Amino acid sequence: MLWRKLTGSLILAIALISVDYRYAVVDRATPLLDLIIQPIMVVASLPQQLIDSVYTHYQGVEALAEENRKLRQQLLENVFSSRTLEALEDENRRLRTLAQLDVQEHSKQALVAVVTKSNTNAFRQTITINRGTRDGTYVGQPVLDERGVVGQISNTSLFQSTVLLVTDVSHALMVRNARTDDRYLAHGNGQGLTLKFVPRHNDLKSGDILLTSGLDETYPEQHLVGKVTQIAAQPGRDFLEADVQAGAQLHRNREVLLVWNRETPEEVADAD
Amino acid sequence: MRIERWRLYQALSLIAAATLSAWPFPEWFAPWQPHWIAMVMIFWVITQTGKAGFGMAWVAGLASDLIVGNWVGIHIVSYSIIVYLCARFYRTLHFSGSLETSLPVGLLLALHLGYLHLLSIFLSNVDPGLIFWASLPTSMVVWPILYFLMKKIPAGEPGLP
Repeated sequence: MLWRKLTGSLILAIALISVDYRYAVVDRATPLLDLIIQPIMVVASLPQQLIDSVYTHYQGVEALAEENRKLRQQLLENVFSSRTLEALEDENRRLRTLAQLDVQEHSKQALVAVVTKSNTNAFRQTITINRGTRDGTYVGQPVLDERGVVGQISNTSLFQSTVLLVTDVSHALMVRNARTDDRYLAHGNGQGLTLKFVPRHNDLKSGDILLTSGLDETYPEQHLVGKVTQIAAQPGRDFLEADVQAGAQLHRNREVLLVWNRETPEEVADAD
Repeated sequence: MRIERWRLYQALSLIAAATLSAWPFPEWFAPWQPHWIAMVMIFWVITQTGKAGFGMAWVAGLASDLIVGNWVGIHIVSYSIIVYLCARFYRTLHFSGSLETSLPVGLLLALHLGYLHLLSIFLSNVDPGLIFWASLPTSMVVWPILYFLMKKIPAGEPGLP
């Protein structure tokens, strides 16, 4: 009797896994499932919010004033550097027009999102953020932090989105070596990233900085992806493999930045 | 239709376990997080064998898969096997105390972890390493306390498998 039940249960479960693996049923049903899971997540995040608010409350006026002063200073510096950047961009545009090159437009639209959950397990490396289609997010949208590339949105529902981190095994992006301008494909490996198929005599050194290349049509150009930590040459193989440490603070972020990188009118309208 | 009281207790304890699993603990603690859902399920199966079985394995497995974000069904497989073993060795487990059952529960969870570890190596080509097993000792330490506390729930007659 028990045996029969066990066998039935196992067969059904394996059927379910194959269906989900093949058709990603659950990914498609996410908006619905969110509604069920959302209350649990909200309750689970309550204590943290409570601690945060109590902490802010007792932090005292002086500490807040100090922080305020620092932030003002920071703002001033940022305004200054953003002015400089604008001037540079202007100059760049003028020069490119003179040289008859394509003028690159950088999207400036960005939105801060709060990380509500960080999921690290052997299968998937994702974080959940509190922005959804309500805010105009879309699947494949790049997510950055103040240091570099965090990942891209893999799943989005009304109120929240799942961000696939660059270290996830199913993630890959085109990177560019800042020193030599060589391009590589960087795969996630669970802990960091790996550059596979690097030609044997390629000028790649440990300590090299890798930036987004802008060629994958997902990530904007020139953002930090990571630093090469180790290069391994395996005898008998034609290619080198390099380990890369991600530049962004993938699991320690409280806030991340959503960037609107696509320029189709429809998506821009959506974002508004 | 009247919902029986023990069903309510089972549902509430599973929801509590799911909430704990989804809890945003600090990052360093994440691998040490006890298997709340699995332990609550094991508790019901060994104390109330007649009232908790493969149905619970499915509910608990679905909840775990959705929270972790796996392909749905992965946890159901190992939870079904755990439920089977608990029901099979019901007599031994049911009449042992909280401390004595800590070891068998550890074994059941080790089975579950070993299964997940193998899956991760074969399906995603990632070896999660020894830290993947960190939740086992914490679960075994938490188990007697959980057992003691959940025993206080007036869930009625245990029933037969």
